[in-house]
Amino acid sequence: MKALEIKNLHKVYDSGTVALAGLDLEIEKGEFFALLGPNGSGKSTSINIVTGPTRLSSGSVKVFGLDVEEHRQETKMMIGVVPQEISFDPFFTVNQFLNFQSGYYGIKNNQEKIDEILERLDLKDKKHSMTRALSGGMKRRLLVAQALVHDPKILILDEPTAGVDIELRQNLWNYMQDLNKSGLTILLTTHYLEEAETLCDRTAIIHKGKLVAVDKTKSLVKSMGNRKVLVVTLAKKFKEIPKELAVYEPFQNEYNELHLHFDSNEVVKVLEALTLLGDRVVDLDIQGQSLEDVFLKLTYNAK
Amino acid sequence: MNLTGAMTLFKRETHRYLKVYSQTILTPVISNLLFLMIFGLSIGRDIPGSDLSYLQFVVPGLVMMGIINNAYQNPSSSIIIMKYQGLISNLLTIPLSKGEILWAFLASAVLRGLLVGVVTLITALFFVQVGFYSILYIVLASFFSALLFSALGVIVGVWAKSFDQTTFVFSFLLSPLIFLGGVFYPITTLPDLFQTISMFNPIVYMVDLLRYGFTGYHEFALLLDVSVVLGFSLVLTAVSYLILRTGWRMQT
Ligand SMILES: Nc1ncnc2c1ncn2[C@@H]1O[C@H](COP(=O)(O)OP(=O)(O)O)[C@@H](O)[C@H]1O
Ligand SMILES: [Mg+2]
Repeated sequence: MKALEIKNLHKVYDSGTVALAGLDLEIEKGEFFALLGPNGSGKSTSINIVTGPTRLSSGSVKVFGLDVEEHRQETKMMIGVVPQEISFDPFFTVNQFLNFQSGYYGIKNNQEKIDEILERLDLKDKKHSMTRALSGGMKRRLLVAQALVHDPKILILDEPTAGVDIELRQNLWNYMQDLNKSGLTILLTTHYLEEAETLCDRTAIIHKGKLVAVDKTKSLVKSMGNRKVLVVTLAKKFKEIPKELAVYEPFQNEYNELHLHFDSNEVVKVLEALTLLGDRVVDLDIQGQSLEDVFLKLTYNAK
Repeated sequence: MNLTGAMTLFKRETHRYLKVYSQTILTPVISNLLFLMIFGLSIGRDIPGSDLSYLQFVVPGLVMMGIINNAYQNPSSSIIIMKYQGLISNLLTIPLSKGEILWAFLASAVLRGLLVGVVTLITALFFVQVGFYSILYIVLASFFSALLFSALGVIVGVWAKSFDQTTFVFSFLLSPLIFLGGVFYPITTLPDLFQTISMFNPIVYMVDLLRYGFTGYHEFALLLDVSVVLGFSLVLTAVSYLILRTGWRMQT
């Protein structure tokens, strides 16, 4: 039995947008699994179908062997989710809020567990603050607390690191790793490859509502080579990118940024090539591969 | 069944308005008291065909008005606030069936309606002598009217995309129906045309039934009153359930 089993999942929103076009995904019990994909690839849509707010158009979703449509309440009981959008009951304190949340899952007295979670998430001294008075990072952590009060069997985190500062992010990841070691299955969506790399056993990449690749995270990263990206901010976009740059698989985005791809050992060569760009260059930045770059490669290889 | 869960949502809904009881419970009572003073003092005469003073006549109407306003207000504003705050997705994620969610919303709204009704009644008792002719009819009329407008509140809350829309329904549909619903005057004293029009206003029968419960005075056949109150409340409750079931304007 899988922790999560998604088969041929399709979703067409009322607006006509096709968000999922036959997604297949399987997550084993006890895995720390990453779901990667650029914005709009359908990560949140699939999660919302698993958790309840969104209906599927066709296909099937099973959580620990139970179909989510036939066993709505049972599957909901097993899932804890940190949604992408931060939202809270504004009328309550942190402690009241978490007690209500426990109650929704049928748990009457959960103070001990709540205290333990608040402690681990560095929210202990905010226990009696109003939820609306928390900072962005604290709100995100409170959402994590909310997802854990009922001791779920699978935890789903939808881009949880937005707005959380680096130190706390580390703390959060340590906590997630501990939970995972004690048997909790975790599904994490992100668009940072690094996050998946440090945390997740396996990674799936989705694009336009379909699975593009799934593998051990290590193998996936390896297969993509030691590529880097030079991001050049231009004063003015090129109508046509100079032919001499073609070897760097260049592409321009809507922010007037030109991306050039190169192997780490070619760094000097690529910088030299910049002389071609003259005084159009406003700013430079070297980055690891962004997910978009990985995609370009994966979809390119798939051709 | 998740009884604790449904009960928790009920508590959450109730806590929400009890916490600001001065706005939600006392304010409506004060406006009702103002009505009492204005109408009671200016219209001193008795109600024709009965031994009721005007104040005795109007108190059950005011109680009904408090019940209707607040039963409607609670779920409609709670749901629209949830939409604004992005809380609908949590509502759809917690392990409650649509029936349990509906029960929690209705129970909390009925309670708020009845609370305002009771508080209005108690304050009125300081000014007027109110009888309790038939407790059974008082309970029947207030409970089912509260249920009816709670269900309407759920329906409008789910339908509405903004606060303006819920207030629109309230100001342009409900308020006129309430004011023309026999709260302040006997329908039978109206000119024929207006009497006929009033017959299509269900609130007329609810007020009539509650007034009967308190005073023994009624203008319409009790069977008609009871059928309208029961019929409308059961139909609207069923509609609100079906709407939630389909996920209309809630699930994407
Ligand atoms: N409620 C909605 N109504 C219509 N379209 C939506 C809705 N939510 C998401 N979409 C669309 O579905 C696609 C997938 O979005 P989403 O699942 O949010 O992607 P991701 O989480 O990977 O960024 C996008 O094109 C998005 O615009
Ligand atoms: Mg998303």
